[in-house]
Amino acid sequence: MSGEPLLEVKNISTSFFSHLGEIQAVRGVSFYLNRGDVLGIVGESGSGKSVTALSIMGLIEKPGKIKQGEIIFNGEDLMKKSQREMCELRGNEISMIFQDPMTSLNPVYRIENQMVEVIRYHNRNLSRKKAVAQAVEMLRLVKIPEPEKQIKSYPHEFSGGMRQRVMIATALSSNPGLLIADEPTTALDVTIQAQILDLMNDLRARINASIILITHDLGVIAEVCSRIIVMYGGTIMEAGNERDIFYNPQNPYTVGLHQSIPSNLAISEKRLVPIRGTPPNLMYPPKGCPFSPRCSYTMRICLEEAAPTIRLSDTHISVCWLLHENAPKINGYSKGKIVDRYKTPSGS
Amino acid sequence: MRNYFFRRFIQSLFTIFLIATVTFFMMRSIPGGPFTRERPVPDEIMRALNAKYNLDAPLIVQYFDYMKSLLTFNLGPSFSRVGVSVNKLIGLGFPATAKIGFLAVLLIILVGIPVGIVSALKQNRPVDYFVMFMATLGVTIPNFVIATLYIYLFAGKLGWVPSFGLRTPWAYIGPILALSGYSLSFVARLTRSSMLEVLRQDYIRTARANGLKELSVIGKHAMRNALIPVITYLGPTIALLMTGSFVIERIFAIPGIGRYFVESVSSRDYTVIMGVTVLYASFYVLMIYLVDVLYAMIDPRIRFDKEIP
Repeated sequence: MSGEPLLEVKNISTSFFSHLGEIQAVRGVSFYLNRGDVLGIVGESGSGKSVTALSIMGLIEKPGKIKQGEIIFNGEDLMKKSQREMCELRGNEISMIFQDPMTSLNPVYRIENQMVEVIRYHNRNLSRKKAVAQAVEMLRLVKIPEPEKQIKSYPHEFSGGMRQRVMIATALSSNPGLLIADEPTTALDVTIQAQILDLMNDLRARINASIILITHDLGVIAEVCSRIIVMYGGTIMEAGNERDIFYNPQNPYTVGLHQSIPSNLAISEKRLVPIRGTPPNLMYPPKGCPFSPRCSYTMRICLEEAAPTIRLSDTHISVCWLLHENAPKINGYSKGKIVDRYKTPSGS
Repeated sequence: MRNYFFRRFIQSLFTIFLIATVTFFMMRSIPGGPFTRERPVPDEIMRALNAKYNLDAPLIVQYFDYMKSLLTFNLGPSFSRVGVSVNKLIGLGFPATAKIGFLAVLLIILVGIPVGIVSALKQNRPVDYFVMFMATLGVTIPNFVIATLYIYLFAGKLGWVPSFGLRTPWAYIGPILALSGYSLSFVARLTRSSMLEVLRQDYIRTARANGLKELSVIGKHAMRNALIPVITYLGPTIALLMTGSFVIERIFAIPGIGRYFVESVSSRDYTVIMGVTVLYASFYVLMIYLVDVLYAMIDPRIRFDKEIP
């Protein structure tokens, strides 16, 4: 099955219309995801990762609005679907799990009640008994000990890691084609993080689901993702496979991210280099490249005009003026060909 | 859990006992008595009256006598109304008070909560603004103003409803509205803000991400969480409304117990004061007890069976 696109996101822009003005959280993001693949989206807070995910789910609430773009899932444009059709799809063909498992389950209902409701909602012919059996089976799959007994628990009786397992079990109970995990391990401690990531990877192979893994942690991405998108200021900065992003980053922002990760410290004894400045105010996004106010290689054109998408290899693209053939040569950065950013946005 | 509710029940009885005791001694520490008049009463008559009602016995003896009869639900004779027992007095007044109170409570629950929910779901839209405007009026305008205005307009000018008493079903409208006005508005506001708070919670987003319909998201997942503060408020409020309001009963000339209570204080009608106080206290304690039971049923995180060290 691998190789054909399950999801294509074409040039979507999502804004929130507040009293003060329009906040352009996502500004023309395009990517696709093949069946069975794990796509990582990295970026700092406010880079538009979560809003991109919520846009795909159709969960952007007022005052937010998807202004433009297409989201093609299984050959169908989700933007054209009614709210009712999206309900059928959510939790069934596309599932999503969230950052904070401590608060993501309803505190006043038993785990059983919450899981069975979702299972039976998407499979109305299922008897209650069979739905419970399926829920127990899912809990066993996510390695909850004694699932028959634990399913009667309330969320507050579970630890954070166990709650995230319940979230995953619920999300995967309908064998979705796509699982969107929005920072699934951020609120968990490091040992539990690894367990949850292993679990997700394991289950992905078992039920042949694709995963979009959103995180601000490059280490998490490196473990599981086949392709990686780096986002900043509501746009894609760079995209490629693990080798491209980790060993041959071709965007000053990606390089900055690598330099500011403390895990390199132990190995190389290098000083941590923070990225200077603050992320752009998306109510007034920079005219040119969103990273230009913080970039150490900023040229005049970076401030004036949005950067072109440059293809560096079959798998690797970067959105940066520095890679343009007329730009001065900088050590570590190569040159590539400008491509239409909306047609073949991220590799292959 | 059952153990807890039993313990709470015993505690409630003890609370009522304490209230009765404190009231008894506080009331007796005020100068004057049931037979004190502006013109001095001749000593012999005073002695005879005190002897008749056992008021010449030492206070502590009177106290134990009263508590003993309280245990058999005998609230004693009224001092100011000759030949009428306090039980009878409450039996006469309470039905009217309770009827109005019960209907007011019903109105608060059936209107206040739904209106608050709708207002939350339509936040910052005309419906919400309208509801919140009305609710602000309801909270700020005193009930006697509402009552007086209501009588002037609907009983006086338009003649649609009687201006006093409870003889026709129409007559109930005014007292119910005036009695529930404040609480109704307060419950609407409370439900709205609580609902808005809950709708922002992560588990609501999860419910939506799992594809559940709005009816389930709001009616099941949001409601149960949003109602907890409303129930907290409703408990004592129900007790208050069921035991009536002196002001409302006065304005609409309803033969309730509110008026006995106020009159008995100024006339030092000891047994009536005691009887009505014990009744009020019992209602209050009962409602708080019920709220605690409801809490445990609604929110599993509230546990009572574990002792706090």
